[in-house]
Amino acid sequence: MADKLGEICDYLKIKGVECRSVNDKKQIFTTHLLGAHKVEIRAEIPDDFPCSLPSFHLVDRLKYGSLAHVAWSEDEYADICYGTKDTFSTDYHKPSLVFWVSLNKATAILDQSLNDKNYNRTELINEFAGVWRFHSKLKKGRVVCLAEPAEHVVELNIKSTISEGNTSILGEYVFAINPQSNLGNSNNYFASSCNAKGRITKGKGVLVPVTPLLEPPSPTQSIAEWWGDQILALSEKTQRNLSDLSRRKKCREFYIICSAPVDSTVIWFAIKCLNSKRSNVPTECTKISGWDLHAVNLDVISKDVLVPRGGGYTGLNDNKVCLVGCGSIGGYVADMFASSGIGQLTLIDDDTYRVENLYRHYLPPNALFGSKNGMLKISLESKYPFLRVAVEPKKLQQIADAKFYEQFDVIVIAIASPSHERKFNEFLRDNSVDVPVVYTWVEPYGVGGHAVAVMPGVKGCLACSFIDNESDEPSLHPNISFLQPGQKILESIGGCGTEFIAFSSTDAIQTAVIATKLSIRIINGEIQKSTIVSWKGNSIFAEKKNLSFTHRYKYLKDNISEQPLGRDACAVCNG
Amino acid sequence: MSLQSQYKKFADTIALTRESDKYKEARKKDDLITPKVENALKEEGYEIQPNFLQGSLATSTGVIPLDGDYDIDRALAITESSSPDNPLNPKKIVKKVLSEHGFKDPLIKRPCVTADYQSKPLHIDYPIYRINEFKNYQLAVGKENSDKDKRIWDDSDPKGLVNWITSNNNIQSSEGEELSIEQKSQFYRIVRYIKRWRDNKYDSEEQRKKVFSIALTVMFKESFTPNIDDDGRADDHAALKGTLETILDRQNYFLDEGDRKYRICVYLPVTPTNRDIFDGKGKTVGTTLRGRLRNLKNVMDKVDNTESLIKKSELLQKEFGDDFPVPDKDSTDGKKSTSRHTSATAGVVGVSYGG
Repeated sequence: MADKLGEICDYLKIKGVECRSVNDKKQIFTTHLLGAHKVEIRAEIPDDFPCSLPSFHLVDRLKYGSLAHVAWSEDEYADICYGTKDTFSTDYHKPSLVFWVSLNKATAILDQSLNDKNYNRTELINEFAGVWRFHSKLKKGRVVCLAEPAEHVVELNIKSTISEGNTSILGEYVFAINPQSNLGNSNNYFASSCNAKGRITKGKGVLVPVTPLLEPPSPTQSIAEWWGDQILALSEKTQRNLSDLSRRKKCREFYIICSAPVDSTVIWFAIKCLNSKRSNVPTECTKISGWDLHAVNLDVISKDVLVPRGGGYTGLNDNKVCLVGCGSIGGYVADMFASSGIGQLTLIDDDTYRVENLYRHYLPPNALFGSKNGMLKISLESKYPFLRVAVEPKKLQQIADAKFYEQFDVIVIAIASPSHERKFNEFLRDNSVDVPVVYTWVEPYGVGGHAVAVMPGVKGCLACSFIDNESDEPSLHPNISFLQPGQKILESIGGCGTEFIAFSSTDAIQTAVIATKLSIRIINGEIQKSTIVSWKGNSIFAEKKNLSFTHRYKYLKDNISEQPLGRDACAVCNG
Repeated sequence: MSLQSQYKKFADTIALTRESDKYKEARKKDDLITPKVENALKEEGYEIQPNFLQGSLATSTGVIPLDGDYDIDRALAITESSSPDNPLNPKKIVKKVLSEHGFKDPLIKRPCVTADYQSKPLHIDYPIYRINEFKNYQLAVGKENSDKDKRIWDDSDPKGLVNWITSNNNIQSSEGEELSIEQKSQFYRIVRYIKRWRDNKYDSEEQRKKVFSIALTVMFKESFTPNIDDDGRADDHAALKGTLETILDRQNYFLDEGDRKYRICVYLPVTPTNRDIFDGKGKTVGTTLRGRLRNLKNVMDKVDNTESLIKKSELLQKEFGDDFPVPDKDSTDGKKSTSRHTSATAGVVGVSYGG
């Protein structure tokens, strides 16, 4: 390491940088003139440098006040954030160059934060939550807030899990709950945690709409001082409501949760207020003294925060999806719809979850012997707080009600029963049901899977995928299959009643992915024509079984691309 | 309803397999007579090897004959070690058995023993091979009164020929790609189309018999231009036309003899590979066949430029005969298909998918 540090210092000197190394601490100090500021930066070299990049720290951090992208703490931690280090690809054969380029990135950030006031202010607001964490010094507890962003001052209910012998899986948390907000479904984990044993105290917290949001507190500023300034910056109405609250409410422990809309996002943060005496709550400037105000870490449980953070679309929350078939594919389809932000799922299935399903089904073993759709409802609602699931313990053919199906934005059929699927396709056409349907199934031995989207009122329906490729007439085999028809496919473990189609969980998941993506594109209005999507896997296992493949399997060029569905010879959508 | 569905119906109508109802009598006779023939050979001290089918039934290219005369193409085999020097000896035994079992006037032809059944429209051809320890085949060649030098055991590869025709080899593919199962089925269909076309277009039996099925099959295999799109949709019309164009464009089948005369020459693709299937007698066949194939190709062009499915089908019916279906007006007008609830395949089939 000493050699490496020496090499880097020699390199920096050639580049005209004043520097020195402290070998036993694996540190290099460099001096820079950034505008009018002469600054010293301490570089800490990790053991696996240059694969891992050095961290750069601003020496005498507290001298510089609020600086965007520069952390601080009591132990001289003053990391300059020049990017998420794992996202850089480094030329690890050239350590000196790697160090030099990294140092330049760090000094460029620091230079801008020190010398461009507008940039510094904008960035401080943007990274408000990050700065807030530097101020958070309480060792115990976080706040979990179940609320939507506030439009006006709202009193919150508070439930604390911070106590001796706390056994909550979430650990030491304070729940702050807006009873007027959408708290999600009754199975959701957070709602059920709130409802577990323990006392909920009304009005020991407040949700404050913060506009405009001030810069976060500087490293040397107290939270109390900053909060006083922030109150004064709020609208008159908000200040009035907060003063009113302060007059009415007295306690020793109080939580202030703030939501601040900035550009297209909402910044959330929380203040924990402690007082040795029962006092008026510190929501008015004159009532702050006597209170200890602490920045605390906050987790927000709101669909506007959680759904986009998971890559979903909040716009799907009002959409209703009907899923028929909660088997291997259906289970994953349901989960993917939920994680995408779909608000309402109706699950139709009358099957029981059995031991033989375990290895390729979404559900865990504690769902065994329950109904597949019922257990999926509990599991999904528990995981996704803002999802609502309805269940119908029936088979597809038992619901011949056009009105029932018309309530949905899309229907997904994952039952792998070609006769019932074709009949359902005809039923929807005959009754002019104006809802898109996605039929999906998987082929055995990992050769592939399909999703067929049938759009209402246009050419192209499920029956089109049952037109024989040779005769151009109706057939009982899908013409998009990858395996030749008429081959022995079923496997059996113990004779009659134990036969099954051999496919893996990953095959089911991959099929669920194409079916769900296609469905969401339909809901988003991106698909107008009936469409086929297939994924093509490898042929190794099927070849071992001496199975033959179709021409389509051999020549399918664009795996997972969308292909048009429709055959002139189809009597169902052309008849 | 489409032109492809008309072609497929045509293919299904004319296809002849060993399991076809129309082949039932021939099959029964084959099953009855072959063991008797083999027993007779055995009794004469020949060591029998497994017999096998050859000809169109072995290559999935059989066509129901228009004249109703069905073939039995059954190859008999004995070991080389038990075979006589004179290849006529076992042929004479076969002839005797046939004459004793209801066949009239059995005849020893150069490559086989042939006979018509007395009371039914079917005839049988028995080529006899001997096989050595290396599994090489030799055909018993010679007529009943042939000179000694014309009575020979001639190198042959009957199984190789069947394998070559039924192989996945896509001879036209420059990348050496193999035929898919669907492409191979299309090949069998278009060979059947062209054989039925020949049967329909050649009124004279004498002329028709000179346009050998095996020659058409070899030309089609060598020139096969499949037409199946990437989704697996077959277009037999395009495949047949493309194959015809390839055959007519090639310089090696129809040899210009001057004065608008053409000699046809098609070599066997297997041992003996220097053997012209027409055996140098293609001069009389070549000019007519070439002209008629060109005419067929022109009609197919005309079909491409015709809108109405009925008219397309009528044009093709003139080429392929009455078995090529012409849809009625109702089934092409307005109601595109009436077969919504029916299926071209069986009523119940297993499918290979899960959910």
